[in-house]
Formats: sequence, structure tokens, C-alpha cells
Amino acid sequence: MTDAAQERSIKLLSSDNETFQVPRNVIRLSNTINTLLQDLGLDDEEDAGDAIPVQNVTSTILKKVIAWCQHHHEDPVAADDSDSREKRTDDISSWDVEFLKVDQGTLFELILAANYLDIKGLLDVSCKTVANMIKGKSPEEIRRTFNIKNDFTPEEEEQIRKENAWCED
Amino acid sequence: MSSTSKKRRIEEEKDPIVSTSIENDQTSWFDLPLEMRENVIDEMDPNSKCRFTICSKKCEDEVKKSMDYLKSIKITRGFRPEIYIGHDAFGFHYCLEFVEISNLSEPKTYVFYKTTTHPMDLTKKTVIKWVQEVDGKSDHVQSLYLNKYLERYHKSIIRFEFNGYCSKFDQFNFKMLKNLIDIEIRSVNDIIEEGSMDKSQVISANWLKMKEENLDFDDILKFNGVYCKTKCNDFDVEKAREYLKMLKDGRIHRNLNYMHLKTNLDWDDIDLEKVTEGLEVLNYNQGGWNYELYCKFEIELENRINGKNIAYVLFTPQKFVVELKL
Repeated sequence: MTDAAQERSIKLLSSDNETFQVPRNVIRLSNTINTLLQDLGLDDEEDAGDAIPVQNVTSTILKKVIAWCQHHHEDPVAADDSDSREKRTDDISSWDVEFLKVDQGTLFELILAANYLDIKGLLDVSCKTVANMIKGKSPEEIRRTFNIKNDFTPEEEEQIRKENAWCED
Repeated sequence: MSSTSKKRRIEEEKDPIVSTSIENDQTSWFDLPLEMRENVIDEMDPNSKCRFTICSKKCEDEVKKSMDYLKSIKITRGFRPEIYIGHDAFGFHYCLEFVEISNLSEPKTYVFYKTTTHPMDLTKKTVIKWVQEVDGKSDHVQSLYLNKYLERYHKSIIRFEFNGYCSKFDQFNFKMLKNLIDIEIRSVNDIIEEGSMDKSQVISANWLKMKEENLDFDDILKFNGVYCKTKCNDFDVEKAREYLKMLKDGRIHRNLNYMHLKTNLDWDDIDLEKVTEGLEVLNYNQGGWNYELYCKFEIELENRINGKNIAYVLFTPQKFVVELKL
């Protein structure tokens, strides 16, 4: 990618028809957009033309996604060692923690947007945040938090509690 | 309409669980697509996974699926051919001894079938069921047993794991670990009917090796459960030293009361004076554990001048199986 390409902007169109002008080097965190531009041969073009429709993401969420990319676009690229890395949920930066202090619906929509736009960092951190919401909660609390209906029969529940008794320690 | 709302609408029609969430106008776990739910499950710590499993059948299924997704466990060779180390989807290590698997010559991936039991509990009660994938089909192979030694080894690993050294296997004191595994002292209590031998210990060849490595005999005995809460609770190491002799070839030389041996054992049909060797399977059960010790025995008789026959039995452990049945 040329310097000129990095300095230019890309227009994104949200599902509710709001247009966002995003610096190319910021939205580079989205593999979906990268692939799209490359496939269309627009990556090195001065003017990428019309706004790229991001049909699955509302303006509210897209704004947050762009804000996240704006903050993280200069982060070093992490090695893709997801299979071997140690699972941790306590390594979320304080900025991300604040950023993700949103209602559950917004958090879920951020996950969906991160998945659709293929922004690995945002997807990881938002999934970790949801995982952290479960951490330390009892099954009853988890059910309430995520509105999960307990469909075990009493006998089944007793059995599964017995099998998982160790986590009640 | 947002994609989440659309998804809700679609799932509402087919999933009563989601339907409830819509009525409550509250975001549900199931508003996330399955792939994203798996991502979140993947990020959960083991405790969270277990608690989440208890929430509903669907949650339980998803945790199980996430285990499958993780390709379950990879079992690799341990320090001895029959020992394998597994790492499961919960992030726990297992040390396994394959009993009666003769054709397992190479490390293989086994599908994690089901063990939601905490590894610490495995030491108490569990036989782990494993499934081997053969040509894409799950085929129940057999149960794997943790033996007493692996149990300790296992505990050690778990202890390290809980101290935050999970998966840093090489940080474990390797030499000590190897020593623990290599020790093949087999503590089998009452293998000979009570009264004939008040304290019975069978020690194998590796004892000598351990001795060379300057491991204290007392420690070895302690390690091997000599001081467990059973009849051997009052085991006297000094006394043991008196009647146990280690030969250079690793066999155990033990003095026996010949008459006691002849009358108290089920060897009445054996003429000890003619039969000088054989294979004996010694069974012992304690606290749910079944021990089987396959010993080659050799009997040597000595006629003392005073007319008393003294028997020496030389046990050479051939195989030792410990199993814990469900």
C-alpha cells in the first residue's frame, strides 16, 4: 500500500444510511474492508469512489467500531497464535474496559460488527468482556444476566450440578 | 432492523428460550450467533465454563460443542511408554495410563468424550471415558485409569496449574517428576493373607535406580503410600529394612515363615519344595481402588541345621495395574 493510499479516506455507509469518512490506515484493521478494496482494485486508488455499504452495522455501532479502530490502528500486529496462546481474560487494556462499558445489547452488536468487519482485536476483546461477565457468577446469576431459561428437569439439574460440583468451590 | 433483531425474530420462531427473552425485552445469550457464542465460551475460564454448563441444556451442549471444536485433547507420550499426557478443553492436564492397550504405539488424538469432573476428583472416583475417532466415527475404546503414581503426578500438575503455571509443563521440576514416575515401588498391602506377612511391600528394580539417585528410602516409602490410613499405618521402616532385601538385579528378597506360607496361602496344592517359580496375581482392594500385581515368584528353601525350613521368596513384579471402577 502506498503512502498516498494510507493518507486517504474511505467512506463507509451504515445500515441506516449514515456515511462515515474513515482514514484508510485506521480501517485497515478491518480485513473485510481490506479484502473488498483489494478485490475491487481500489486499494491504491486516490478516490475509492462511492461509500462502501456496511449493511449489517448501524450508525451507532459503526461509530463505535471506528472509534475503536482509531485508538488501536497503530497497535503492533499480534501474532496469530490463537490455538496455542494461553486463555486470559484479564489482559484487557483499561481503555478497552472503559470503551466496552456499554449495555449488553450494544456489546453484542459490537461483537457482530467486529465479526462482520473481521476486526480480530475488537472481536477478541468484546468476547472476553462477555466472558468476564460470566466470571464469578453463579448459574442462576448467569441465567438472569443472559436471560437463559433453565430447561433442566430437577433430576437433570441435580445430576449436572453433581458432575460440575468442583466449580462450586 | 438490526441484524441482531432480525436474528432474534428468526430464532424466536424456533427457539422457545429466545422467545422468552424477547418477551422480557432483554438481550439474550442466544441473540449472538452460534459462532460468536463459541468464541465467548472459548474465552471462558474453566470455572465459568462449568457454571455456564449448568445454566441450561442448550448451554451444556454448546460447551460440549466448543470442546469438540477445540479438537478435544491431544495425547502425547509421557516419560514412560504407557503414560500419556492429555490437555483437555477445560485447560486441565491429565496424566493417563493406558491399561491393556497394546497397539498404541504412536501419539494419537482422542476425542474428549465426557469428563466434566474436576481433575482433582479423578483421584477419588473417576474412570475417564474416552472415545477414539476411527474413520470419522466415534468408537468407544475403553476406560483409562489413573494409577496411584500418576495420581500424585497429576496432583502436582494441578497444583501448579492452580498456581498459575498452567501449561508451563517444562517449568515443573522435571527431575523430580521423572523420579516420581520412574519409581516402581509397589506398595501392596496384605497381598499375602493377613497374619502370614504383617507388612508386605513389593519393590521393583527401579528402587536401585532411585537409590543411585540418592532418594531417601523413607521418602520412597512415604511416597508409595506406606503411611496411608490402613493396616500399614503403623509401618515401621526399620522393620521393613530387616525383612526386605534388595538384590542387585532388583528382585526382592524376603524372609518368609515357611509353615505360615504353606498353611495360610491358597497354595496348598503347590509343593513348595518342587515348585520354585511361578506367576502370581495378587489382588488388593482399598478405598475403591483395585490393585493387581502380577509377580513372578521364585522360592528358595533353606534347610537349617535345627530342622526348620526357611523359605525365601523372590518376587519380581511383572505388571502392576491399578483401577478404579465407576
